[in-house]
Amino acid sequence: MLKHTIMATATAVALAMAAPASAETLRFAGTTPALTMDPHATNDFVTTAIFRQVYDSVVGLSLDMELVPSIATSWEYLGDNTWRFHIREGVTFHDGQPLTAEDVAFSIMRQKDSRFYTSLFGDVAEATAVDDLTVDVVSNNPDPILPRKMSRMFVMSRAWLEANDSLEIPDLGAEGAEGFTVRNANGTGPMALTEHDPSVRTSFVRNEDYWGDFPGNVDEAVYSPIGSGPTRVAALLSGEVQLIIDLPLQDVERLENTDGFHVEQEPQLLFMQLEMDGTRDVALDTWTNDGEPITDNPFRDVRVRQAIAHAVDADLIVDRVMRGDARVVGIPSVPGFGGYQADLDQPWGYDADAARALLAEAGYPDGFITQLNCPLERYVNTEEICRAVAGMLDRVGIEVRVNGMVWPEFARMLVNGPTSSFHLIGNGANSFDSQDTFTATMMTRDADANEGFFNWALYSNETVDQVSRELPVTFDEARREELYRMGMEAARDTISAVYLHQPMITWGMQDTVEAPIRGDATLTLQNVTIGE
Amino acid sequence: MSTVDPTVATNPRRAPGRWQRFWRSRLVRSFRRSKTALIGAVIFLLLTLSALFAPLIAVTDPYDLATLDLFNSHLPPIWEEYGTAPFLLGTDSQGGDMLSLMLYGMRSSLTVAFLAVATSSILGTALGLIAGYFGRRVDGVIMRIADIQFTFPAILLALLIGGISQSLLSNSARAELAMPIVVLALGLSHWPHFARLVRGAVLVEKNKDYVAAAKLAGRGPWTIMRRQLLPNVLNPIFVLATLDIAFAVMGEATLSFLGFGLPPTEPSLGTLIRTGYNYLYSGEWWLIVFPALWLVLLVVSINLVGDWLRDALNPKLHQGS
Amino acid sequence: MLSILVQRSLHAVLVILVVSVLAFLLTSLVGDPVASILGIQATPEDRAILAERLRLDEPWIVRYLSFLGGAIQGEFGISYSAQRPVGDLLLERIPATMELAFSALILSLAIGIPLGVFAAVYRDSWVSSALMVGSIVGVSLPTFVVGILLIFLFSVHLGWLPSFGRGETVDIGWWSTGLLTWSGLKALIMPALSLAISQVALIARLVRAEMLEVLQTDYVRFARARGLAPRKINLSHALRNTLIPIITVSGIQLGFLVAFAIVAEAVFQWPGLGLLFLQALGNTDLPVIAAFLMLAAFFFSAINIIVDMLYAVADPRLRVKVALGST
Repeated sequence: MLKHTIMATATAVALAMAAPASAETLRFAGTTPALTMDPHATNDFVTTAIFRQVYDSVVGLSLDMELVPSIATSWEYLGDNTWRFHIREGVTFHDGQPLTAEDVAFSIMRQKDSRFYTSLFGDVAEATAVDDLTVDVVSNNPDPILPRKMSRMFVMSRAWLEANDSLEIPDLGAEGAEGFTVRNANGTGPMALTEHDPSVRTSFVRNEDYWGDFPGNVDEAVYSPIGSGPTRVAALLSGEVQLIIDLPLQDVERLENTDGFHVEQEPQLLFMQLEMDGTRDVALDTWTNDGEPITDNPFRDVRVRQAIAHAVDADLIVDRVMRGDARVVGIPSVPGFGGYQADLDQPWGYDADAARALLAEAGYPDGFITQLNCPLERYVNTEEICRAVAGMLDRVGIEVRVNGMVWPEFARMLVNGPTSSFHLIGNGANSFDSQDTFTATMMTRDADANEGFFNWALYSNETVDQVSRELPVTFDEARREELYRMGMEAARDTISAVYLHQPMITWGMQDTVEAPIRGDATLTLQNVTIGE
Repeated sequence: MSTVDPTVATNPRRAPGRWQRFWRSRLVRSFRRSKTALIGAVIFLLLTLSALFAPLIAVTDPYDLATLDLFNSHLPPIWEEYGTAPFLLGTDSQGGDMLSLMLYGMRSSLTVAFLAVATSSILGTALGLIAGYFGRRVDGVIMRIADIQFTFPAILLALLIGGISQSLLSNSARAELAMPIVVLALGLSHWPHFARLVRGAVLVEKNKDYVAAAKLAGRGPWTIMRRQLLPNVLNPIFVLATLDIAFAVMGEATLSFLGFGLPPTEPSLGTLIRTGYNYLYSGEWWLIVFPALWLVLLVVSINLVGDWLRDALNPKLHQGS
Repeated sequence: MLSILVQRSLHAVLVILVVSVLAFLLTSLVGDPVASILGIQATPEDRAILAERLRLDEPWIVRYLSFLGGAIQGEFGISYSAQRPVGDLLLERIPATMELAFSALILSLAIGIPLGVFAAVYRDSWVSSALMVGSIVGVSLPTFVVGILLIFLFSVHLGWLPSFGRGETVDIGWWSTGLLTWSGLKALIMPALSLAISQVALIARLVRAEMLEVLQTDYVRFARARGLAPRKINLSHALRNTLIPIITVSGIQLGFLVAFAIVAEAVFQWPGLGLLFLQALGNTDLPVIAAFLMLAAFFFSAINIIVDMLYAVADPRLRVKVALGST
């Protein structure tokens, strides 16, 4: 046994010595720029995926999205709404300073106040360093999934922030100089930031003192945002970048058939759904068949909701619009989320006749006219999904006008209203637990109480509300399981929304590059290998 | 045109019929001699007719979602493997027939272009007439506005007007107003060209005897502008308008390509190219190559006619060559 | 001369004032800056705080004056989407757009002048008429179509040239140039070419027309009569006389190139002002849009003053020709 170990070590050393002396640089591109390098100043998922290279989260995520030790090596619930996190010893920031429990506690307090994280950490009351290696986090209410949420909590250096006058999160829209932390970073992660020019490039160099595993061989990495899909593909084909995230689906086949390139896919932790007005007395932007403004809300009738669910052929959309690169979804959860129930995940199924019958039964034998609000970017092929949906609903008598909107505009419509009775949107879970889906996107909306804040179509169901109230305070696993099932069945039966599909994260890369995809669409640079 | 071309009128011979007179006019003779103009005119006529009769020729109707079938999506042109009738030039991602899309697209493009040129020529001519005839402060104000506009290239103005209003409009308003906005953006960006041209011509014409005679006869300024001055400035307006259609078609395509023109639900050639651009590398080349060629063909045909017209109606160049 | 300069400068001030009012209306009276800045997850309190910070409750005339004051000093506030001062954003992008536009101008002159001279000298040959028809096709090629075709050919099929961006840049003071690196020059070729093509056609036609005119003047006839070699007449006499109008027209062409650069920048993802502006339009990033308007007003007023001064010494008829010839 000992001999084997020595052999293995010897081989490893030999391999290490045989490794090419030249620095390996990974040049990769995505759609949108990393907005800021301050991990507490945004929750944009592209930006998060980028600054995750530099900043470690308190709790880590494995490539399978399982919780793993990171800055915290272990954690336990102490009771009294208090979680204890044990901090890893010997971790240093990129500037060489050692990480202390004080830094962790400070980071938690800094990030919890960020307006972007109120839905995740708004309930955290206090984080304190008990000793050099222990941090206690106290919430206002019991929080069984706090460790999972801590995978979105990023650790910064207090001393560094203080030295650069950045203890406060750089305020958006403020007059005067921009915050230091927007373009500079000092984390504990596998890569250190060398340059961040948001719209042009973000560059990293390997952190030689990284505390964790670094199985890959990337020494330097450069990320460039390339907004236009074809330009991104061109950049890959011409060798200017070795890897692109967000490979347009139409280019998957071409890339797979091109020598020297391959495509990696992984289900995204998100599902697309059509949300329908569940509360209003009169539906917005909806007309009777004669073009007169409608005087009721057809979407409130569960039979209309069922009709739409049956009229939309999710399989065909996956096959044609998504080119097979997606999975049809039957419940408001996907594999990889806490609380996912595989046996409940049965799609409604396409049945145009049933849809027509249901519409007639609901009192709309000739259908009606409505507007489908459609975000034009952010998710994959949304515009085409919307148009396909419109065509399908047209066949059962519901005339749909597709109203495409760029993302900021779409987001404004929801945040300032919400003023949409029918729209397409992606549904995920901030913490990757279905509990979030319930409390944030399905619970009856009460924005002031931070309940169902993302329930943009004002869906409302008593069972779902009950589940949404009970889940966050329930520690008993069996009871949680029961609640998940109860909620999902209720949501499914009342069509909380028409669930369409779970898209695939699709990356294209040179054959020499090996890059595993994590479910949160993060490229973990430490796991990337560049071959000959 | 209801008015008789002056170059035609000053061509007295035997009194032939109106049509014959037109056919034998210098203008038409030079047209018949110019091969390129002839080719351009024929192509343009064919394209316009096909656009006009799009509903009769088209297999699928982009405005009637029920005619689209997702099952027919992503088909290549008929001569390629998997190509299927009746989709001659293939289909798009929604199962729309490419040829039908281009016909309808050209319909939108030409509609926008004609309306835009109508806007700019009517506005520009009216303001040019007024400025030229009244002179003084009226002239000063109008031409100062024109000057301010001339500071910026027309395409930039169109992009500013179209882009900003689209960016500010929210939700449903945009889809409904997209076409009027593009028309206005293109129309408003080009009126000073007409105004300058017409004003210049009016300044020359208004000192001529026939205008003085009309004044003596007690005709009001509006009548003189309409009955005396307007017919005499129609020639250059006509040339500029023809050339302007090319500008408007290209302008619309550019705006739509950049995403500030017509929405994909209302396909124009520019929107089709914008959509097709996404498939540049995917092997579905028919989505971009056909609309791009179609657009170039359309613009070239207009410019061929316009180029001839410019030479034919420009007396200075006539003497020169 | 001086009076023209004064008059044109007053005119420019007027243009800039008009545009500043429009820009101000845009940033403050339309749109919802608060929602734009805070995005999807803001709470009502956040919104109230920000509204106060943006001084949204003061009378508009006060806000206009402070807007104008800021604009004069190059301060346009913070970009909603980039979260950085708009002035800095613009300043960073200026070199990219200028290098692109000037390269395209030089390219279009370098190709257009010889073509035009050739077409004028051999005015009756088939090459000349082919060139004239070719120039019509050239004028008819939309910038973005040319760009797409170039990428398809040279980036994807041949793999010779990069399809996006500026390549490596070198900083000279605040000016970042791509002209000093090999990759920067390679990245410049296609965007500049796609911009230049329609201008090549215009320049060629203009040079031909001017040359034809000059070749018929007594001055050239006299030179011919003196028995000078045709080549010498064509190049040194005729061409030299067409240079002044060409230089003058170049000013206008530069304006067009900067305007069309927006399109080329979109196709090639060239990190210049145009791309910034398009992204700002997409995000309804009003401070950036307003600043872009002001910059455009300033830039084009300046170009116009220069061009008008050149006209004053050259030939006033030219302007009409350019207006007629350019679409």
